[in-house]
Amino acid sequence: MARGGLRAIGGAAALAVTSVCAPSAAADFEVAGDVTAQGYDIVSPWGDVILGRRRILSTLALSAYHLQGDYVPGEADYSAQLRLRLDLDFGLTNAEENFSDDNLPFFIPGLNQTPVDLMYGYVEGRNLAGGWVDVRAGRQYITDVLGWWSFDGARVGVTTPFYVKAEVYGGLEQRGGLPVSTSRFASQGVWRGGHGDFEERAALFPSYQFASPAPAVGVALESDGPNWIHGRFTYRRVWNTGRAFLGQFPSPIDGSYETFDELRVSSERIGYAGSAFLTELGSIKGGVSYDLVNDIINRAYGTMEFFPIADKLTTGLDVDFYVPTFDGDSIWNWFTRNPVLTATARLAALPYEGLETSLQAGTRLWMADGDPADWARAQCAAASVDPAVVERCLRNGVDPSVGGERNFSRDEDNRGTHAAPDLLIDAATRYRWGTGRVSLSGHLQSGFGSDASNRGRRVGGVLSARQSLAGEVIWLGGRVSVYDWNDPLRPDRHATSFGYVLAPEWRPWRYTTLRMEWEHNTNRLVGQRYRALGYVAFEVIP
Amino acid sequence: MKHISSAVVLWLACGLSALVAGIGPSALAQTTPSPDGSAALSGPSPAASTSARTSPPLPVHGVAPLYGDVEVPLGWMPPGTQASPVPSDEIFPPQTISIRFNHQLHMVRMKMSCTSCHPGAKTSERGSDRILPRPSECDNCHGTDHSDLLAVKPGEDETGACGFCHLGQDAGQGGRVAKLILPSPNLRFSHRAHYRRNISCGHCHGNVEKLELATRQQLPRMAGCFTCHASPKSSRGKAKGACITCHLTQPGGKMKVSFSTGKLLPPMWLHGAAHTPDFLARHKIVAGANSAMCGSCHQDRFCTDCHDGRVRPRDVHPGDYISMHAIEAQQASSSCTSCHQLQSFCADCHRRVGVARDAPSARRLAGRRFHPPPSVFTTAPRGPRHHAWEAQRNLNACVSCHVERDCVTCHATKGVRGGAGVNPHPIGFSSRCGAAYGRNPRPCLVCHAPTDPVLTSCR
Repeated sequence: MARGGLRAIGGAAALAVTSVCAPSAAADFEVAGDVTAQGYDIVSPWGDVILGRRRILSTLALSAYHLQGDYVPGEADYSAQLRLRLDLDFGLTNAEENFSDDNLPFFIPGLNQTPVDLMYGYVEGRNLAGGWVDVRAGRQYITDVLGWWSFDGARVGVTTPFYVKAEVYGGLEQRGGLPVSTSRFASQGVWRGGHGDFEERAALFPSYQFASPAPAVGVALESDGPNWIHGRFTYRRVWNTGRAFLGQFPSPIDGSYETFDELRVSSERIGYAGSAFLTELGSIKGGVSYDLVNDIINRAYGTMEFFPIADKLTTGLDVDFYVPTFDGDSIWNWFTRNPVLTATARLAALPYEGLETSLQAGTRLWMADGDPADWARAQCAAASVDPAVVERCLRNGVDPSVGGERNFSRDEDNRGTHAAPDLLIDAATRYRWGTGRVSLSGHLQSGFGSDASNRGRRVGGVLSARQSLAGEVIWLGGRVSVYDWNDPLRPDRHATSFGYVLAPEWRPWRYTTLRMEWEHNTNRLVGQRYRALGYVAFEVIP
Repeated sequence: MKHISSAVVLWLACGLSALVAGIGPSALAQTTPSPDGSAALSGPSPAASTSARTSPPLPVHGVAPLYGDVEVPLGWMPPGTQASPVPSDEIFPPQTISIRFNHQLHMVRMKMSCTSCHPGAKTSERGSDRILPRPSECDNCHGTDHSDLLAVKPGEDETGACGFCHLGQDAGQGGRVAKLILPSPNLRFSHRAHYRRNISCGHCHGNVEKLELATRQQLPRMAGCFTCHASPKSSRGKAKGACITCHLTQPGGKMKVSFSTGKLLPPMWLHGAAHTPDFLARHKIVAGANSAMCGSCHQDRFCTDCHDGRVRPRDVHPGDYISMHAIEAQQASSSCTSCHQLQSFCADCHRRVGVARDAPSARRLAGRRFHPPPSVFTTAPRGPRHHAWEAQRNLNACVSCHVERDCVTCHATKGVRGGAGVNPHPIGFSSRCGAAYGRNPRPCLVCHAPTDPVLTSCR
């Protein structure tokens, strides 16, 4: 089905491009492609090789510009673009991919279901109707404060003389399990895909939902004109259609699984992002997204920058607020979860030509309902006044026959917000010269404060360099990294890893690149890990 | 592509012919520039010749923006200089100016206007147009004869000597003057359009009339362009502040950013889009607010290579990332969802390697457990390492391995739905469950039977 869909779309795109282009001798064309082949093993934290990855990933992009003929700035301009991807994993086994009774101990629904997908493919008209209208039709992306999103449909933008652009779009969200599509752009929290050969026995996997078209509409208003200030207000709604399992266990009455197939909201969000700057003073940016399904602000961020020394030094403050939200079909929307708040101060400097540095330091706050350090004792105390019972409770868990813990956990007084802070430091410096560059970056994130023993720590850095030789025909690249991490929840997983990458590259022609990469990592958990990667990219601009 | 040029050249009042022309050896013998440009025009300066022999040479007029190469006051520089102290190398490639010239003297003392020497500024439509005066235009006053550039005749007095204007190491050697290197600017620009809107030269080039030699420093800054183009002022006319109004483009309409002098990158002040070493981690702030600006340079495929990619970008996932991605998911899970679908991309692999609870039976790692022991992680009481805290703080991490059935095993209601009745809802949820049910009843019905009184009350 996927391959058939690919042929259909590829044929239609080729026909559209060639038929539209035929009379336009002045159109510009561009073909770009790449192939990445890599092999590596995934080793479990206990040292076993558990997965052999043998992958080939290839993309092919076709673009045709100025389909109308000669391009005149400000006048109607037509273009078409398409990019296809082939993703093959030779490490997959037949039993993992194809359903049968014999394969059940290995079968994973939806695995590698669409080896070929259309990343984007659209026809676009700009500056139509005297410069008022822009139109784009096909599979396309929208990037704004609501996220990076893809749909199949049409988008129409109208540029008004009042410094505002209006945009309306509609179509079907790109969803995994549908032809030449990936799950990348669907909302989080639903395992969904095609059922193919096991449609009749779908109840074996009641958490794996059916792929169905997802209608979507959206509107946006965006400023247009004054450059020093910009804003975009946006609204989008996506619906789920088709069947979905309800109960995750068979009915005790007849052993069946209930399903639900009404039209329902998948996601509905409204958001605004804006920025403004004064060239000699600083800039301010921010965005907020409100999730109408959950009735919460699911994301907000802001940043202020100042330029104390023009072109040399920037200082600033960044704040990010995030609450996980999920597809409207997902149960996790209604689980207790709390915001993650990150605040950092930053400094970026260009001490002299070619040398750039940046430093960010701050904190990330992880919120929870209640103080983990005190909760257990209070919970056991609520279960009984008998010290022996409390002690046994602390050691073995709450005895359900004693009771009391439920009332404790649902008591609002016991659910005050507790924040566990992480310390965050990121530093990077980069020096670029005409034929190469060297960069050094370091990262530290570690819990601190009273709850530090529950939070992980990660610290490390990377030194990388690149140098061209022979008139930029040969490039030599390499990197060395050292990272140490510690997870108190899994103390046996503490490790320090050392790794290096060697990456020679050959550019025989202007738009052609051939690169080999050899990666070697070593740590006490997995021993030695190797990865070999070959990369070929080309671009043809007739 | 023919590169555009223009604004570059207003300050050079004579001598482009020096690029190609040779002059006679006899003329070169007379080249003795006076240190005092003003005196030189009205006659030789006696003091100049004597002092040159007896003391360190005095600075020569017309070889620097101000006599003695003192710093030009900010107010005389082009608008935007405070934000961008030097012009962009990518837009205005470095130049070699081998001409000595005193704008102040010509414009103030001799009352000449810019267009007296640069008449092309009235008509030039492209940045690549040369609007320097023809050398022959200097002849009227200097007494020279540039009509035949292969046989230029010097004037009779000092101001007509070749070396009076032409500088450089090659002057006087083999009859050739030093080469003037003046690359075309990588810019789309119409002097004519600006001239017709009564925009004076100084609006873009600063107070050239107060300077002697006008150098590359007098070339416009983008921050200065924005004083008109970034605002809905009448002066900008139809030329909106879009990048490609001025910047060169590739066939697809994206900005051309690679030049022999470097890669064109956003300046620090432009919507905070400077591509500093930490930009990779912060670019969502820019892209979220104004993705069209990113699209001025980047094609869709530039973004998809990472955001929809399946080959690990090493700058994003450095080092031994597979080994340490679990701790990163615990520390920065909100970043994972920028590129990865938790229930498919993440969980598919976790199922294959047996980490996920719903992994196929043959894949499960016998006797090995990803989480802390059940007595700590699952069974009450809730100690500091209980899964409830992890879930509340970082639900994304749970969703990257677990499917609904894993959670509803305990969190669904007892009875028909087969759970243990452990309520996962936040405090106060009952007051808004009606709205939740109204938007999408499916998740409610996963844990609650349709006849569940709790659900009935929500409806």
